[in-house]
Amino acid sequence: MMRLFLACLALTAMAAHAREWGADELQVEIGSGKLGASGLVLTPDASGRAYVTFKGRYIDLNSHTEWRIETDTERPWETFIVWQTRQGGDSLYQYKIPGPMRYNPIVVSTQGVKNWQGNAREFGLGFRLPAGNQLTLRGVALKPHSIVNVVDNWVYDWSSLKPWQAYDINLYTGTRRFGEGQHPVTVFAAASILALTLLFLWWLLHRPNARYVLAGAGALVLTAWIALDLFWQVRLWKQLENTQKTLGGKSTDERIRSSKDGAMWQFAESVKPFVSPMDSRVFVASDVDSKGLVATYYLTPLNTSWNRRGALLPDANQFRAGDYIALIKPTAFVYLPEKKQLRVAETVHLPVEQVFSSREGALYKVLP
Amino acid sequence: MMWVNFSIAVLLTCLPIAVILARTIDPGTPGRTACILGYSLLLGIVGITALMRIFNLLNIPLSFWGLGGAWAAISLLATLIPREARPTRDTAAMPKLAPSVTALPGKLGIFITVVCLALIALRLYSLGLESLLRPTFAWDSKQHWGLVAREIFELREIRQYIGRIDWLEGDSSSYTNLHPSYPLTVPLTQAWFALALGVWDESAAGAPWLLFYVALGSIFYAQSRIAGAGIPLATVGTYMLLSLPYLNIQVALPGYADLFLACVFLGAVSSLYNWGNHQARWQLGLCAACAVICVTVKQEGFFWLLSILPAVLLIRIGWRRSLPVFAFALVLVLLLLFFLPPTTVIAGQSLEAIDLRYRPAGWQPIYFSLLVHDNWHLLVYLFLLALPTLFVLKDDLPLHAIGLCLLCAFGLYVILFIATDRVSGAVTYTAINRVGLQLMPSVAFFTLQVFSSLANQRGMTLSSSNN
Repeated sequence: MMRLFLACLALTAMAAHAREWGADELQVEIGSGKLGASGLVLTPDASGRAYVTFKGRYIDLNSHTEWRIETDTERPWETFIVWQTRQGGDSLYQYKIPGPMRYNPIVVSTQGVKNWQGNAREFGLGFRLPAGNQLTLRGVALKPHSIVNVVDNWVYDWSSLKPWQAYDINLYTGTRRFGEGQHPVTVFAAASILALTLLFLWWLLHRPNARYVLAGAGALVLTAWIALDLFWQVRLWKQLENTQKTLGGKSTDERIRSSKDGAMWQFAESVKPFVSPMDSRVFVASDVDSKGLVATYYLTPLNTSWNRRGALLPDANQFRAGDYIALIKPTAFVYLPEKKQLRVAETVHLPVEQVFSSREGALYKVLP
Repeated sequence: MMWVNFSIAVLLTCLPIAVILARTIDPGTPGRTACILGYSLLLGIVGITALMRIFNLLNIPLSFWGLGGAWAAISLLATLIPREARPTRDTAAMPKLAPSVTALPGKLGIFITVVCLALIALRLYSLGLESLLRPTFAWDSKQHWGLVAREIFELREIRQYIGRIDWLEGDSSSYTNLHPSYPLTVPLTQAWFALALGVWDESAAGAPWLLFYVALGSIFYAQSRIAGAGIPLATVGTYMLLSLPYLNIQVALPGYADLFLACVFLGAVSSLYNWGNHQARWQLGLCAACAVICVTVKQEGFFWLLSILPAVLLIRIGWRRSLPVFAFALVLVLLLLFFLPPTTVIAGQSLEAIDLRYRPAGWQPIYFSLLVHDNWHLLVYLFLLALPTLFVLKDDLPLHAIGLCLLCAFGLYVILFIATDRVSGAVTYTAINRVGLQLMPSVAFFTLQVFSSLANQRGMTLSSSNN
């Protein structure tokens, strides 16, 4: 059975050959390039564009759908694939990569891409980079669509590092990006259902003791579960490694400072001593929800109010002398220092005194 | 030093309930230690938060030694419970446990147990380190749970939380936030452990979630053992539960109350099942305690409490007599929904605000969340397989009861996301998995019991035994 499976894999892989281009086979059309030991070092033009072409024998596009671009960069701003087919006269097409399946190398599937059909021998790669950046191209390969490649990409997608993002608290798809790639659960569920069906058929044909079938079913499910879980386990370890690299060996304050909340934490710590008495009301406002949220959190234990939906600040007549307003940038509220007023609405000005100001925001005390 | 204080706090938290359970649960009960550990953590945490509320009512500033001293005194009182008061006779019903056979063939059983234990240990280590390295990360923790906890810790008292409009008009003794009506149990838990440490440590603020994780695993293992599973099967089930990715995420990025509610609901459902099997009064006590605690953790807890009621009724009077009651209750609920004024508030939400009507947009996220995304590995597939299997297990009334309870809970979960304004929480995937998490440990327990019962019925040797 295993031999048959391996033979099928080998046949699929042999049916079409990968086509590879080394760095020395790439022709620079836009920008400039210098061939070095590490590959072709591309310098984009003044507008950040670089373009290389390469050609070879005609390739059947239907059976070659996986691009592997060996670079030294995580991700150029934009990457385009260009190809010229001989069907209906020479036609030039381009495909802007929405997001590669993986980085280093950049792996892109052109399966299902419009006009990716017929035969082609001339190809191009376009990049757009931040001005002043360089890109080293080590080589390009166009690989056949094979089971091995598909499985390889799945494994990468399911187990590679995916650093924690704020959105991760809401769901786990199993893939690196929401809405992209094959979901591992569906693959393992389908495989398990298939295996259980085969087991059931075997039971129907041979009528062994039900206990063996149940034991076999249990073993199958446990194996599928552990296999599926291994991808998650590996990803968790990679995430932990990443967390340790960025936060390990630091004090709690250093960890906060080096996190993305660092600036807001610093702001809140600086503001707190200016609020007196401690139970004064403090209104927190920012045009960016996450900044208002974090500032409010780190302003604890002050008696704060932050409104996420609706008016950021209450009506002017609801303020009292002695209240404080922490305005976090960006904000639409404008402080007029010469008048000692805060413009809280088009024609509404609140008498305030600025008691603290920094790059992140400012604290105002409401005057009588 | 911080961790010494933290350990003392954990021990103190568990102590009174552990003492009571140790004197209540028969020493021969399978999984007894895990049962005491899991429930004493869970109920101890809730107990200490109740004590904090009492201190606050009496205007006593919250302090670790004050609260700890009072809690230790309660532990001492628990040791004075007279032996006669111990309901040990309940455990005489234990022989109803499945006939004992060995778990899995000797060495294979040991091998599987060791592998699963190793996987659990690795998970606990990685999640623990991840959660303890990272300052508060979760949005809702900064917006509500952690924010309130910090305020309680820093002020050493529980202020009154009111809506923004009232706060603008009132004096500055009250505090406000976006959800002033949310229960205080979870913030109080965080505040208690912060009091033990003596400082608000951003990295240690997530430590209670590790305790919930341990409690969850312990309760699942213990109740599975009591239900008749052998050590290997109970360990496999526990590993499967503790490996659920979304559950892991809630521990790695702590701060949401859902894991706590999941733990409490599992505590109620699993003890209900074993009470149904063995009629042990302490199981009924645990079930009642956990069911009531559901309401104090999150507002949804009220609905999970409701979902337990038909299960209790079913165990008490059986299908035939309970069906008319269920039909009557259903009609009553529908009539109430129809006739109640729109301003009526149920579990913190007014009927007007939730705007009951059909919203088909909720179906797709429900499908993706349960069956396509990797939130729950293969658990929902197994659950869907387990439900029809109940028809084969016609005589297992306790299993039918918790199946009914979970169906009711899942029904409410579906209604929440296809018939109320919470559909936005499904479409954006912001709330759908959090609510799902509250049910999943109980779903896992039910699923394990169904297949375990099926195996027992077919003469499999998966049960704990006395051979």
